[in-house]
Amino acid sequence: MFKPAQDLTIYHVAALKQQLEQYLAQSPSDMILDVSAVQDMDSAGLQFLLLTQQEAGRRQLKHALHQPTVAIKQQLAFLRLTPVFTFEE
Amino acid sequence: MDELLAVFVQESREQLQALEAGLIALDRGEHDPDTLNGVFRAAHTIKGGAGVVECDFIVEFTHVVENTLDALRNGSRELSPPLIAALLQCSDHLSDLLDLLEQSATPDAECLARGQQRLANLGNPTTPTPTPTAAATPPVAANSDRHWHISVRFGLDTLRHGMDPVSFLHYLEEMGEIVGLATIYDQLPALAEYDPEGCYLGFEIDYASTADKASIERVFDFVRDDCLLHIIPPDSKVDDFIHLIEQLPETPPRIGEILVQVGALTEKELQQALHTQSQLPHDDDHPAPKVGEILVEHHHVPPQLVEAAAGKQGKLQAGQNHTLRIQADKLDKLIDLVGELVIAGASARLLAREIGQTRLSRVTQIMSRLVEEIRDSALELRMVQIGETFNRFHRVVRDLSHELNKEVELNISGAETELDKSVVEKISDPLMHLVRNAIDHGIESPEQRLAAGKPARGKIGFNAYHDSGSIVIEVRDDGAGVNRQKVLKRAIERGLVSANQSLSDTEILNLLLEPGFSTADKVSNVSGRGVGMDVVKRNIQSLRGRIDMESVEGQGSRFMIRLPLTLAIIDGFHVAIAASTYILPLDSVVRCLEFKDAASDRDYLDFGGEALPFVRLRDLFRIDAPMPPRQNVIVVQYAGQKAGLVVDQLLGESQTVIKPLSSMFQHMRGIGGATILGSGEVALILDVQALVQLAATRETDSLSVQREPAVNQPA
Repeated sequence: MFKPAQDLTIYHVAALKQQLEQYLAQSPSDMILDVSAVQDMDSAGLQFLLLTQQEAGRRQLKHALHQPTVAIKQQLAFLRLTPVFTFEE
Repeated sequence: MDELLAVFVQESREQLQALEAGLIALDRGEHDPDTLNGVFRAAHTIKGGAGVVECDFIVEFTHVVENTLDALRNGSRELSPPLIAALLQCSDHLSDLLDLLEQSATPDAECLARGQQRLANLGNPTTPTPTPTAAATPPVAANSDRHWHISVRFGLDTLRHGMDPVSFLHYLEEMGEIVGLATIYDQLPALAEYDPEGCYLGFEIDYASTADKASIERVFDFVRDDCLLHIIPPDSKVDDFIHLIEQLPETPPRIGEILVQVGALTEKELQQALHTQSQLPHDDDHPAPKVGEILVEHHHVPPQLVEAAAGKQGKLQAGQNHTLRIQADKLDKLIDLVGELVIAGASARLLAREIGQTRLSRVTQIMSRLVEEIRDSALELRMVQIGETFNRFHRVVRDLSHELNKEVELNISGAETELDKSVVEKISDPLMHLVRNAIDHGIESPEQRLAAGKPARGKIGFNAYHDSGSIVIEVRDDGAGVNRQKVLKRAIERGLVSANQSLSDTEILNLLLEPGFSTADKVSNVSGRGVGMDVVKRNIQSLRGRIDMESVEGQGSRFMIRLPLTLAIIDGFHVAIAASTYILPLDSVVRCLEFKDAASDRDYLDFGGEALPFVRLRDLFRIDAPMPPRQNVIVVQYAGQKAGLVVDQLLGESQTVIKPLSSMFQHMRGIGGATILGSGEVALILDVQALVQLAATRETDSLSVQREPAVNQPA
């Protein structure tokens, strides 16, 4: 499980990219994102989320959003992206 | 986000100023459509920006104001003085709201009530009670069959510019309804190439709104320069979509699918569109133009060209002044460094001269010239036109004259005169006081004016111009002028002067600038609290400037404020007394003469037929050193007044960075600052204004003749 250390916003995406690279370096068995603590997601954060999914697809890892917060769900719904992701509670 | 907010607040303040200026112009009866459009645009831009920074309370408030302006613009409402007054109040309220936003506060109940009241005063027939949702959502449903299609691909740097693509969607929702939406992220690269702060997003939007194309375009004003934006109006032909498909980076089947998905095209229309595209002439050697290639091309076309081609006029208007905002302290740092560079350059030149190497001297000479240019350009960066400050007073004049039932118009000239930003900031308060004073005490009521044979409408004039290294700002009125007897009587009452003192006209006028003076028979809340004029004088003096006053009873008064153009660097004229160097501002030097009758103890000499008072700096600064074989007189001038300064030697000119004196030395007469010479020595900068005044008073004292008072004005 990959747990973003911070909110998914422009201020943190650079750090998140590093965190993701470190995570992938450990040859993980899945790319399930624990986003239960993410309170805020802007466009930069959304891109990061989409990137993880794309990267998971490329590496044939299972991708899902684990316990997304209301903020994330709302944002994805507004952008009509809900069907794009797999959610797990 | 904070930076974006700061930019928004600053820009909105500017828009607000434009809005207010427009309203004032309308109030004066300048009913041209451009002015009204300008006012509308200002309100609209504020609302747009507020949407982007997600400040709902400003969006809601401005929305109602914008509706009123729109009604005025399309002629469904008539402009009337009460409506302009109400709009001006709304503009004040917006300014308050911006203050709140800046302090990260939200309006309290009282502020909201005041806002509601002000909006109610606009008397919009259709204004719903501006509850948040009602105000923010225009009637969409009524006309929701007008579906626009908006296609946008944001530029790679959008995020880095502080913009959030998603917030533009939120703003669109305030003018209409996003019926269908597809988030496009096909440009998102693989992890290795992924720049977390790059922007790879785009949207295809099916949008129901009654707004016009320009309004929708304006939503994207902040990113227009680096995004691909296509807006297809309702009821457009399928051809337009084919064109769109060709323009977009994604493959035609993919984008077609998206367009169907958001509801812009039906499946059938898509098939037709794709069919048409494949019909484009091509053979094996010339395959059909790939959309990707078209796009690459498209990317290389400067966005301005694309926009010009698309005839996006709104953009051209918005982008007219290409300015760059810089924080003032960064600029100050630069000026500081340039100051150091000037000193270092002077030092290098000095050294080169000592060594006597011609080539080296030549190089240092070129360098000095360049440094000089850098200095001038750096100082120019800080220069702003005074017009903006002047224009703010239209509102003050309007409000005050209404309040006092007077008719006053404000005339401005010399608005393009430039001066240092730090000076501009500090001059606003003194000007405010002078204007209030002129309206309250100067301009008479219309009846009085007519009785005195003057037009009912009084005039206040602002003028600014450059004069030998200074800027002169004039504030004049054609009011009652100053009754000197009344001033004298009041001054005696107040104990400012004794009853048997005989004073010249100018001295009497100067009493007005003394602390604790007010001649208004009745004290109004506009001015006349007996404070102020002395504060004005003090403020101006603290800027190394001076204020003079002229007044003719029955005809009006004129205040002249004289200020240095900049506070940082001057062209200095170096002189020596014994072993020390002193510096004068070169602008103030009129001529240098040999000091002939050194033996005489007179304090004036004959200068082209004029009696020129002079000061022996040697005596003034109590320099006890052997007299040189010859001395020189430098004739200096300040505000039209001349005086001579006696020194030992003339050293020539050089740029001088003014370093302020510490407070310990500030009481010293005749010294304005210090600087460090190229040799590393400290030199004092002479305060020409003080020295000229000193010479003048000494002269009057010693001669004890009734002469024209010290303050004579340039014609």
